[in-house]
Amino acid sequence: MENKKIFFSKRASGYLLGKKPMYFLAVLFYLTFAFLFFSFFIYSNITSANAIPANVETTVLINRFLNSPDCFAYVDEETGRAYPGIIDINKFNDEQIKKCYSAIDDNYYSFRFELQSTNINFKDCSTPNWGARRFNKISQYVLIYYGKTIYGETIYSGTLLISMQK
Amino acid sequence: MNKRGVSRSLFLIGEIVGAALIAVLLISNAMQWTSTERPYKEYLAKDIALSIDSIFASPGNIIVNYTGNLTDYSVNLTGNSVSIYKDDSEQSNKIIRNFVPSENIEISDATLEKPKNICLAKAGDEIFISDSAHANLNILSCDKLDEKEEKLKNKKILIDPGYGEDYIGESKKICNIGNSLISNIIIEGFDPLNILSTIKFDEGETRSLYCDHISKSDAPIDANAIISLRTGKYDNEKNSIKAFIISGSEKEKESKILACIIINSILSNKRLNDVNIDGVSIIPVNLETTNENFPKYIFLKEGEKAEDFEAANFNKIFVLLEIGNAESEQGKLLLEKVPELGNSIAKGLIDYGK
Repeated sequence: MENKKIFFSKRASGYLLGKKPMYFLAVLFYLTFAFLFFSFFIYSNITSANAIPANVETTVLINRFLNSPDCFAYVDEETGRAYPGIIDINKFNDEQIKKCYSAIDDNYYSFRFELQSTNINFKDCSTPNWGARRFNKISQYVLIYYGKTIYGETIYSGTLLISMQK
Repeated sequence: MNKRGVSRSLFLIGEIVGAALIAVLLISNAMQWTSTERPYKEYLAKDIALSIDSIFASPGNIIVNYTGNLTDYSVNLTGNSVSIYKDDSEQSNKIIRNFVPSENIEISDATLEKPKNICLAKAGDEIFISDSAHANLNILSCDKLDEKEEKLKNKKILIDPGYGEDYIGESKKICNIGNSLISNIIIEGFDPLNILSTIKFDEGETRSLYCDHISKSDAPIDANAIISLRTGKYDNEKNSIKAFIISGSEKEKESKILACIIINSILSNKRLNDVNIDGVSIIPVNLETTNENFPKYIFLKEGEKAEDFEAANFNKIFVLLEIGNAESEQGKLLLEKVPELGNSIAKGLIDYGK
């Protein structure tokens, strides 16, 4: 009855235009906020439930660089066979990486590779979307195909430092 | 009813309708967000995109039988993304996930509606999705041709189906394949006058080989590109296609690319799907180690003899195509496909330089 008096009393009918819209605005604001909050909450739950562990995704992507003949993998010209895990030093450059990993924006993982070996000079290259952001680094032992010399085909062992960021 | 009573009732009705609208909106949106379909679609899109990323990492050809259940959904593959949706009316609710493309590998756009099976495959320079594992894993990955390299359309092309009793695979079928090849490339705008052969043409027909009686042509055979056709004869049931090119030739790279395109064209011909091809290969050969079966005569100009062979010009695009094993059942079946083979080899010549 108190409310009725406040909102609908004959004497105070002017409140109908004054308080009701304020009430609706407050409720609308609250409901919108509640809707957005719960939507975001539910969506992030769904997303996290389906999330692929980051290391799985990066491992798959790193495998592309090491195994694919379009990336760093050494290919025997005569047989056309690609040797996964053997890095062709002639392919270890930004141009090659751009061809095999055409990621230009920050939505994709970006990588930087540094090749270290006692037998060759330090070399590095990175994907086109590499930027000045926080990154993680791992290392991996690799074989490096250096090319044909008078002694035959030369392969050195080395370490590949892989930095990744998203 | 007085005026104030009417306006109050209308106001209350308005309130109820407004509240109902908001409630319906909120509930339907919440239902949409929390529906079990959405997370599943999300999962499928991510999983397929990651599978494609892993296919990129394959050092060779590969077929992946995808085991996720997509019988209620449609899948659309584009150059850099996978999308999952229930039906066409649900296009706005489709889930899209990206994978990282590669410049050298083409992704075939495709849509599969409620597929029972899904195969993701990489064959040669192409990745595609299909509802059955019909991808030919023998497809080769061909090198790219230099941009300055011309197409074969305006070059002199020599078709060599072989002649004489000493040459392996000399047969009417090979000759007919040569004829089919010639007619196909002429249709595509190759100049008939630029088409040469090591055997005589039929005088009555325009640029048609005389296959009823195969005999050596006296015409000059100095061409820019040479296609030799043979059949293999091996004492086993393996039916392979081999392309021999000359090792050390200035045109070795171009010959290898042409051989690769021709072989892929044969493998991609759906009308040859019923023939089992066990394998394909491109073999660089050293002319010094070849025997009499290798058509060295092609490289000799008119009037030159075998003794002049050292001075012959090998710097031409050359492919000796060995079409299957004529001693095997599948090889015999393959040689029956004369127009299909002619069409495929012609397509290889046409696609060279594209």
